[in-house]
Amino acid sequence: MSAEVAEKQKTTATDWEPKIVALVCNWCTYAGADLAGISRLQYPPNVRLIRLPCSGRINPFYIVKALQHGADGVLVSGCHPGECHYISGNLSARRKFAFLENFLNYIGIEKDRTIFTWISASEGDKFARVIEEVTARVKALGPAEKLVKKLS
Amino acid sequence: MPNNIEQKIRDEARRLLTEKVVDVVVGYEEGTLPLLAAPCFITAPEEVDRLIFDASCKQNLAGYVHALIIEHRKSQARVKPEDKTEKTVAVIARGCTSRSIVIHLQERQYERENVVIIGVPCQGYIDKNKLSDKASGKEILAGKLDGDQVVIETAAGESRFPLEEVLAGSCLTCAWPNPVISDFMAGEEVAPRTTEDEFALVERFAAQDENQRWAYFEAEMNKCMRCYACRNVCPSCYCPTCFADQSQPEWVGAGINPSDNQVFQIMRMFHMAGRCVDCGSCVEVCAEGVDLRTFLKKLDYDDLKLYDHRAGVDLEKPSPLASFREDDPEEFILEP
Amino acid sequence: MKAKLIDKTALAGVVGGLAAKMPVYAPVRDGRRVYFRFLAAEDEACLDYGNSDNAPKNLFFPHTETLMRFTRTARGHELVEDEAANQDQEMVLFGVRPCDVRSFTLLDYVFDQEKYTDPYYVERRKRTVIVALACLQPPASTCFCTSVGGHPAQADGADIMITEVGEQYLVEFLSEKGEKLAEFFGQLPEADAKTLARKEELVENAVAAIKTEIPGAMIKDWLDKNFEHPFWDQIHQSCLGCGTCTYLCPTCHCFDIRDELEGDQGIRLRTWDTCMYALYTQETSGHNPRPSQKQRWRQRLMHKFKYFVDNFREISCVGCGRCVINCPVNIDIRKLVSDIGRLMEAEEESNG
Ligand code: SF4
Ligand code: SF4
Ligand code: SF4
Ligand code: SF4
Ligand code: SF4
Repeated sequence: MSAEVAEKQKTTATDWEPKIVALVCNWCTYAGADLAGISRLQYPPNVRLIRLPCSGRINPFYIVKALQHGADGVLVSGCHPGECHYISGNLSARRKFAFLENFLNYIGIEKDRTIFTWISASEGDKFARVIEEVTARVKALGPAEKLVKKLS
Repeated sequence: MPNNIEQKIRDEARRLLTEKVVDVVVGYEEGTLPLLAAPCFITAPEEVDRLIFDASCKQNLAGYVHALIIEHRKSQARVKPEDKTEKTVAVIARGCTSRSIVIHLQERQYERENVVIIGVPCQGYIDKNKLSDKASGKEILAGKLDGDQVVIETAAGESRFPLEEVLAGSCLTCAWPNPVISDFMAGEEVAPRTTEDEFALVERFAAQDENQRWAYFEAEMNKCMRCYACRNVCPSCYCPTCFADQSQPEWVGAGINPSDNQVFQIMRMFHMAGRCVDCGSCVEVCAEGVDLRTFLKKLDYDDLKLYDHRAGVDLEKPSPLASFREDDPEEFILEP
Repeated sequence: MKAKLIDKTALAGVVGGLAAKMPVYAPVRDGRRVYFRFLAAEDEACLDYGNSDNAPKNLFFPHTETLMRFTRTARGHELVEDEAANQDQEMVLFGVRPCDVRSFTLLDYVFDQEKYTDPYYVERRKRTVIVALACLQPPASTCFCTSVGGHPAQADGADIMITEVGEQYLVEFLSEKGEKLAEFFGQLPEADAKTLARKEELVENAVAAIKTEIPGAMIKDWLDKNFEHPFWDQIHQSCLGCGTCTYLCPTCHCFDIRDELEGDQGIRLRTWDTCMYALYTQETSGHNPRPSQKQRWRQRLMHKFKYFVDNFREISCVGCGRCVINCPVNIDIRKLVSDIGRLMEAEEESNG
């Protein structure tokens, strides 16, 4: 399928499915996703996981780049505060995310395009729930249009 | 005739150069266009009379301080440790300039001993766009400051108006017109502006609906010709290689593409979180008149509202992204 | 050559008529600024402007331009035929000031040579009719065309020249390309001798009104001999290394080429580049033969007043003053050239 056709389907098909990028930390959320898998929990297949060492390692640029290059939504998840494998990576990250989330919303990017959460290694059920929730929210927004790069 | 402040600046600069306390004094001198001073670099005591200070002096000079010291360090890379020298730079600093120096010091760019701060109380500087509106778009052939008035001459004749009417947006809400740190003060401190409406701009903008906000952001970013003057003038943009210049990975496309323009500005502004002193230099240097301040001010706003921090005001208070608290606000976290 | 007269009020209609038939690239007021751009249906060409904020070179040599398209396939990269690229429609570039008209002659030297022809530039250049607008009032006190080989009513390079004479415009059709557009101007009376004489007078006044005089052609001698000189240590210190001066310059023509990919669709892009950027000469190894702004500024001045003269026998500065007006730190090329002039005088005195 050519990119053009794909583009058309994306915007016209009623059964459009969003593409969601999830940036997750290795120690908690990725393990949580694993647990969800082992427990055979069902959740929508719209999410592409990208594993990083720590939520503190998530350059906010990754989030913006994902939106620029075709993600309809971005989920960011790390360990709960106080449970970071590297002690405080997620606490530094939380400030970056707060600035970024507020800023993106301020310039007019829909609030639900970028979603932040904490999921621990034992929260397989929460992982499934969050994916469900995020997918529903992004679906409700429709395909991303702002910030999306089109080749000139 | 030099004004009072200028006389003091010149005397101090002369002393610093004669006594070899500093290698160079960074200041402003008269430019070749009306009401536009140019940054200048004075290295000899007999040249200090070039220095001026008034509302035609625009850019934050802290970026030059950083560049001079770092370039000197680089040039010393191959010098034996015992022969290494340090560069000492004096700078004419208004409030915002001093705050940028505080940021450099906090970020360990150079030592306090490397810089001598000649503080000036500041009444604000002239915004080129507002000035051009006063001339109804006609070329300003001559201009001068007369107390708190500006006098300009165009083909249509002379006109006179209060300086206040053409001051930069940043200056109109400036809470730190006096340097926050200095080694010498060239004049009596002036009263800060009331800070009540400092963020009115942000609140007004945020009150619009999402699509209106986006439409404005999009339209402003579409004006950008990607010349990078805004980044290059910014004292907080001192990275040896900016993300915008990196090619592996290429963070942002080099062409004028609406999305690349937006992403360039979003990320540059994001790098200003807790580091923008609202000096307005980036706005003033932009030849395309892009409204950067409406957006930068939001980061300033969150810096204050979320983390009770103001950029470069207090040497002892770490910047928001270099610190954290267990109980930082996290309303934006889903199912926290 | 035919010189005709048209009423002032009628000219806007002519532009409108042209725009209905073909793309017209003309100055348009946009808030505080005036930009050359393609006239959209709701746009009106701005005829009482000084000079535009951007240079009209953008029509032939835009900041960002797609050179080719490709697709990534299992077999490798395949070129995609780009229909939009193969247009052969005529265009009009309307209302160009004489300095900017001259810039095209200079850009032609670079992009349209025997050894190297830039098809993208040449293609657009060929199918564009240039309608120039003489400056009977110098647009700004920063104009200095007369110091660099130009003049406020110079017509070389224009296909049609328009000069304001009292309540009328004098329209001169200077080339075959220009003649072809004559129909859009309607039946016009021939200009009488009196009007032609009046024009000459006005042009003389315009030349006299240009106050800036710099030794543009003279400094080459000095530049030839002084690649190393303390002068170069003085001029660059405040320079931000931004692209403002060169991006707004009508004669600057440096570019970079890169590929971009979205999914499997790719493009090869050409974008402006400038010798004022540190990155411009940065090598892959990290070595930069122009390590500081000093070398970069020397390059800019040398290129305009020496190298270009060496290569093409003309200064590559047309005196439009855009870099003077827009440099955020007021580095004024007029002043630098004059400073060199003074240096030469001083050196001459001490030698003789
Ligand atoms: S100075 Fe203005 S035009 Fe230049 S990059 Fe910044 S916003 Fe864009
Ligand atoms: S935009 Fe960011 S990366 Fe670039 S110079 Fe500024 S702070 Fe550094
Ligand atoms: S971002 Fe602009 S206003 Fe803020 S410190 Fe930098 S130059 Fe000044
Ligand atoms: S080398 Fe510099 S001055 Fe010369 S054309 Fe290129 S950008 Fe312009
Ligand atoms: S516009 Fe001025 S500051 Fe920018 S590169 Fe040119 S000379 Fe330097």
